[in-house]
Amino acid sequence: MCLVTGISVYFLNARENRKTGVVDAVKLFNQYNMKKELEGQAKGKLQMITKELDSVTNKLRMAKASKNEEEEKSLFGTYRYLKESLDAEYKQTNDDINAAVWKRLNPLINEYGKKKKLHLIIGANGMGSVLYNDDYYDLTSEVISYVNKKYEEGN
Amino acid sequence: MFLCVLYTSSCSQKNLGTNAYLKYVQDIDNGLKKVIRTGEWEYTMQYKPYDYIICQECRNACTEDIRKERMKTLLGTAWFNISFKRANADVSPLKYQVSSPEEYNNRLDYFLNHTAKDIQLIYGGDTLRPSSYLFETNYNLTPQETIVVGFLLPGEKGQTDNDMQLTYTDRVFKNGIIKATYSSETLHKIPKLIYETK
Repeated sequence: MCLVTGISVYFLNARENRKTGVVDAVKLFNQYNMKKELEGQAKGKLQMITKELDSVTNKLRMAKASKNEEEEKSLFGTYRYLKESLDAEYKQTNDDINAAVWKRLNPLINEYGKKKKLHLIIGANGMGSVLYNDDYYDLTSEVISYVNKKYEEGN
Repeated sequence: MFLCVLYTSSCSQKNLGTNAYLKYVQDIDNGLKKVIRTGEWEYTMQYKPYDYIICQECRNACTEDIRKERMKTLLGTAWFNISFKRANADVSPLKYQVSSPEEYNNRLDYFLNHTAKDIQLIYGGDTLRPSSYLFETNYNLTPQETIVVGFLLPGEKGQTDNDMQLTYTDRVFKNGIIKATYSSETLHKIPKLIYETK
């Protein structure tokens, strides 16, 4: 009994003394509430352009089928303009969301590390910087809960 | 007995004089003022209880009748100040990385006329849009800008006592969504103001 308690206390202490952790950066980014909400806000505008593009694509298909070259030429111009707008809007939205999210996450991760007295947090991003880590070092869920709580409460 | 005393002391509201009351509302530790930092930017979301508003407006110069009248107009509403600034900056945020007078004017126009649509309050289960909005233009005299925003609470005639979450989406400086939550527990703990009569 004593031995079991002793071992448990040792492991609990060892967990408390953990100085290094790994966070799955992609998971953290994707599960940050602000990222999901910003994507939701951007969706409307992107969907509107997509609908317009779909409509022009259909008209273009009909013009091609009816061999109306003049209309086809004019519609192709509109199609190209909308396609470029959609691509540009999509890229700009992605860039803005990335920048805003990491601007918010970086100081929070810093704060979390200091609070937990960690010496190092390694960001795993699936690009090979972390080849393996076991659950013991995985702080992803803890950090996700921490940053989302901070985001919702506002400090 | 001990538990009873502990319970009553933890739940009872304090009574404070004007200065102590103002200090209480503005103290981050009391949960009515939230500071959100993102990159170089700092956003402050200050909830303003009714007594705080009256206190700021009167500065002890109001009669009891005027205070009562003002309180009547405030009941059933919720008021906040949203301030933003860049850390260690000495110019208005509106001038930050502005490349032309036109860009500055567009920013000013957005804050004067269009920001309200990017602000909402979740009160209990309801999502509310501002019923009152004011951008306190300071003509670039301070490095901080402030928005005053008010909401009409559904079916409320008294003080705010549900959980509240204020949300502001920053579209100009692209700092994402700024949120501040005020729990009903925090709101119930707000002290009562002892008005100093002359």
